[in-house]
Amino acid sequence: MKKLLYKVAGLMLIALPLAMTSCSDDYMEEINTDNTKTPEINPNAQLTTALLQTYGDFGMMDAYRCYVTGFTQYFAGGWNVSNYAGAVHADNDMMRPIWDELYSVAIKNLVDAIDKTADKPNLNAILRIHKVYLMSVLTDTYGDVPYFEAGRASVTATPKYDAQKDIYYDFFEELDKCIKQFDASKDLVTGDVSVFNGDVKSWMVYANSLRLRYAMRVSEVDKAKGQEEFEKAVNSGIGFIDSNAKNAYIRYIDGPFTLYDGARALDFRVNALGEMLYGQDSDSPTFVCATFFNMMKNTNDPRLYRICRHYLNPKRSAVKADDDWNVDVTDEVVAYENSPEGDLGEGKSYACNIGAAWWHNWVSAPSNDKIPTLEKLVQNYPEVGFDQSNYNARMMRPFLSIKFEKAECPGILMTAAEVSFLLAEAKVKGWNVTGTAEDYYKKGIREAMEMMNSYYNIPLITEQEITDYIAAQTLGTGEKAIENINTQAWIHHMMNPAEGWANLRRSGYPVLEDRYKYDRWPNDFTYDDENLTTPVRLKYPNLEAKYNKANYEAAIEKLGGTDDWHHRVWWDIAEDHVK
Amino acid sequence: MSWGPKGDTNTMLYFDGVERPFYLYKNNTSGFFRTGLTAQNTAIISANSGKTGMRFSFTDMRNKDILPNTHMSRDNFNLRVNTSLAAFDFDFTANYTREDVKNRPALGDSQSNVGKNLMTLANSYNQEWLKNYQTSAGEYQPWNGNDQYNKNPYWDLYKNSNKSNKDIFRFTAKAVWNASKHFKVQGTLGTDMNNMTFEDYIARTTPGTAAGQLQLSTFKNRTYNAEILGLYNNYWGDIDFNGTIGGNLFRVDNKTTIITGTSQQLDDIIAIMNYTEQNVQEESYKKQINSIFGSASLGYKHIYYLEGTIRGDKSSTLPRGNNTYVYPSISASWVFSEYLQKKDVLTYGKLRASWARVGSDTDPYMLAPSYSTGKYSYGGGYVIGMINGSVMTNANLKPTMTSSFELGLEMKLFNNRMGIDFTYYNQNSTDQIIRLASSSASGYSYRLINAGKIQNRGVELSINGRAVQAGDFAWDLGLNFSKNNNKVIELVDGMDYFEIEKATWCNVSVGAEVGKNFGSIVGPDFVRTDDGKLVINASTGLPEVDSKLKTLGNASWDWTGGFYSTFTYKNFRLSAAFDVKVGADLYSMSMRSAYDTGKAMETLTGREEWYQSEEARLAANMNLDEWYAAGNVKGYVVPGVIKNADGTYRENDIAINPENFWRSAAKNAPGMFVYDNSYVKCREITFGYTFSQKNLGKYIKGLTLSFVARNPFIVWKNIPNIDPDSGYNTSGMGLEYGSLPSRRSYGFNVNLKF
Repeated sequence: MKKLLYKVAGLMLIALPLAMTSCSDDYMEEINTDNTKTPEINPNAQLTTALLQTYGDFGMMDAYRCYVTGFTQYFAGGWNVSNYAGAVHADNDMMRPIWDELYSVAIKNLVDAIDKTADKPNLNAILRIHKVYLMSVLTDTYGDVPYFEAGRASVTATPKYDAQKDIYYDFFEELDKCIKQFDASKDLVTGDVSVFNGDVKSWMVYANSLRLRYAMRVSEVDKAKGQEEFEKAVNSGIGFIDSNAKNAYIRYIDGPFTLYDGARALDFRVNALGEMLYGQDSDSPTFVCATFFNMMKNTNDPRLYRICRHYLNPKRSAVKADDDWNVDVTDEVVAYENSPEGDLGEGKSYACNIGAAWWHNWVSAPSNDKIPTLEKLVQNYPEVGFDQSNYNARMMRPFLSIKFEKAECPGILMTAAEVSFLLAEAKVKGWNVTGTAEDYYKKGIREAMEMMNSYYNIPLITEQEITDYIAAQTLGTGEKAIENINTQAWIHHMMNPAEGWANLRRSGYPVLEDRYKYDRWPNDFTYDDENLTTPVRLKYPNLEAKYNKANYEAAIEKLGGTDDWHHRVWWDIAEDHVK
Repeated sequence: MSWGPKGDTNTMLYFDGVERPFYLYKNNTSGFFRTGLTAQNTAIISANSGKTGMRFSFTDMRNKDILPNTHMSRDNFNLRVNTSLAAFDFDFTANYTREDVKNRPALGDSQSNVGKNLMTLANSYNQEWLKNYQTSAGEYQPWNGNDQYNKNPYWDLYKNSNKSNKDIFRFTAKAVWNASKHFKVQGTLGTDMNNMTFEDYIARTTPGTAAGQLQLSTFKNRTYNAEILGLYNNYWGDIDFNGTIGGNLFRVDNKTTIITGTSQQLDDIIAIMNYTEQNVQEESYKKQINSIFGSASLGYKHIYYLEGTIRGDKSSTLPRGNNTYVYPSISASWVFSEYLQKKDVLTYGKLRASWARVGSDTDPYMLAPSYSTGKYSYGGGYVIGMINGSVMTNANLKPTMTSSFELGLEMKLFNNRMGIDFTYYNQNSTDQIIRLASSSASGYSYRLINAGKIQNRGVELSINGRAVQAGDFAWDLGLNFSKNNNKVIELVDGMDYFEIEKATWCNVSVGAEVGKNFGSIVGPDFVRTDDGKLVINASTGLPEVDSKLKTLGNASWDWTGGFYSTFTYKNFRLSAAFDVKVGADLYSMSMRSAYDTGKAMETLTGREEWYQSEEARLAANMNLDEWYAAGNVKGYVVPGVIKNADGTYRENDIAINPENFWRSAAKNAPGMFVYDNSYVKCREITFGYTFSQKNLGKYIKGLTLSFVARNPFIVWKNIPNIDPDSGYNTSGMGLEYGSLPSRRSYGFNVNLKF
């Protein structure tokens, strides 16, 4: 009996551990499978994410707001744009989001999806076109950046920085190949949240138009290449975005603001540029910069009070751009401004100067009875404090109209107006393009205004206003023509600030205000850059010096030894004009 | 903000429409807190009958923290039954714990960190005023210009809420078959089941979450363990032998479900269906390790011992081919005191040496990339999908292998009145599986790799003994010392640093730097001359900034130690314990904030002069440039030098508003707020009395009363204003921001036995 027990025990001791460790590799792999995730995905879903991130990433849009919209002098006066762009204050945590967010979400997923769609030519081409688009935002922002090796941690975790020239040269090849690759009889693209909704023909036209943009971008530094690529695209017979019906944009949906938590959870469903400009809290609205305001005002631009509005908004929603509590008092404020009492004098406006916050260069609020709506609101809602805490003074500053800040505003990729301005400039440069520069220029202005009418739910710019404005424009010739064209392009790019900034640097126009002529506000902001001229790139994330050391140092070497944001990127050689 | 001129008796109109004087409120924040209270009661019943024993215990703990409207309770039930049947022994335990927590405090730079939010209040702002946290409509009462980063702490504790409930079940069953005098077989089954729900409610109109949010998280965590063990022991003459062989199966299966409701519809209904959008996020964590192991130990004359072990593991988290790893150990010891004739000085002495290798695995699902769908739905048939996570997976992972060598000496002296224990250890990991921070341009913020070498070595020494024994009086003393160096010797790709923790928005991180102990504090600094002086910009009077990253300090302790002392006289006992920690640095965001907002004493230097100068300037109707040109500006002259055209330096003489300097320092020179965090702290003082049996009557078997003071005082510290124990979050070494200090507590213990 006892012997038998020993045998049983002995067997158990040998058998049980063996049984335990004999668990097959298959079984172990089964355990190591995350049932809440999937090992394969339809790459269309990655396309959706990458497209939506373009304007849907709240964190990235913060860098647009704080730096790009200030450098371009579209907006000024909000705390954020004044603290960063206005004070020429380089804060690494604010400069890095464009880099961090795009590389770690869109570029990573696009690279992965491109690798996996060799058998889906249409989807593959769309993925590659959008990668070109986002990479152009990255290289235009930072200069030389990882491109060929980017987003491939499985191959290298230390991607080398490619010369911007090589990147742009590859854009042309990529766009060429993509256009040739499209075949409407092949795969159906289901993840396209752009307005094209997978339509192959539209994507070809859009890709061909992007070639115009990029050809013009390199045309200052690399004239021959610019002209060659431009003419190739124009004469390819593919066509380009020549009417607003062909515009490229991303469709966003209506919903509450996503804020930083949303960005962290990759919630890119609403237009976060609009959301960011509306402000992440009820006290961070966007004001139109005096440069922009005066430019429109002095030219009787009918867009002036479509873009600029005066609001009384102490109680505005922090959930979404609300029409209810952003009480529009534009007409009354403008009437007051035009009255002797409110007139600031020739050439002066209530708009915020570059570098100044709205509470600087103090303007007093008119007495309540001058703004009847204010008086009524104060009477009806005394607890809200419409005339308290300087809300009535703030009202005097032209805000960006909340019509541009709605969650469902389109995310602009490329438009007919932009193409028209590119063609006009090509013509001025004497390139082989049919038509006249004057016609393209005026067509562009019309398209810009009509697009604003149809996308932003503004009080419509009337046909009469458009005709009158265009009639008053003369293109001029030579340098003046280049200035006029790019000034119009600048106005038009307001809701595509990345392109607005790039085209401004490339062309050197419009003539903006000299930052040196305006005050510093050292009690409110930190001025840590000797050089107050507007930076022409953003600095790299400083941890690159630690994580991607050799490549980062090589890139810094090319910048002259320091990560200087006054050092121009490769294509930026035209003189910047300020007055 | 506490900048600006001196406070006076002028009144100001505040957010809630009340006019109040503008002056300094001293000890402003203390009024927010209350005295905490902890009560713990334990009852134990045990019974034995023959070979069967039973023990049941119940513990109830209730705690009210120093924050108002917070609460915690924990109840624990524990049952153990053991019995024997023929050659078999059985032992069962069942344990159930229930824990309820209301309003867990938020840490770090959370918008709800009460400590941080109170600390950043202006000195002229009485925290009492914040009690008007809501409007008549029950909405958030704006009080600080809608700064969403500093929420009203009263709103956070009274309007918002978080609650967690945790049920923990633990069962173990053990059966031992005593097959013979020398051999037994033991089987053990154990499980740990842990269910927790966490409800986090953020009311509508809360800044930063104005739409309102409710998050319900459910954690279902299970751990199973099964083990079978054969044990053999025997001796032959002077030789002892012990051998074991066994197998173990370990499995973890955790599931987390987070349901988030956004956009609250009706106020005050805290239910997920009251939200216009709900989304669900699921996470899983599963892994299994199967092991076999054996050991053999030999002893000779109770003087020499030699032991060897070997273990093989197979882990589900590693790839085929690399998922099984075997590791041995060997150790020897020598009781050298056995050779001594007289043992009244050296009573016992043992020298030991060991070498071991240990293999380890990693987290599950790290071998191949996976994809997930976004938490949110775009509608219209579109799917938001992406590569899951920010860590680059690795199909070729190998197990981490750590080898360690240890040497120890154990001695008892003077007939056990004094004990000395000394250990030296040196541990080297090669191919350590490491989650290495990476360039995001690679697409991933982290990658999991077998990389580099990590070394961990140090010494530990403890000495304790009875210093005095005179009749009924005794004095016991003890002290311990340890020094540890934990550093990365080598990384990959020429990297010399990786970030472990980050102080968001301060450009400061804490990480591992090659060749240095873990915990380098890294950030930018002002431009300095070779001898460390600030270089001042001749046009602004402010220091030049340099965005290059520098090492500003190190958060590892040079050494740590402690000592205790106990006096016993008859039934009285008095003891005290102290902690000593030396040499670690701390980046104090609290101090940074104190300087940034003008609350630190040092920020007063030059302030009054500046405001007088400004008054004079306004009276003279000049602008600042003119005032400078006239040489009339007074204020703070930053200690530093100005570079001359010929490359030499001159002393700075430009007076500025001190506010401008300190705010620039807060942004650009975090090193100015890195402090030596060394301290000596009294951890505990206990005074107790044990009643002698004869005073207790026949029903009571024992009674001890004691008074306990925990964290009663800090003996010495270097860092101003901050409790050196403060932490940024649960893992953040080297960082601190508005952390609530460790609580000082006084308690009374009654221990009664029947």
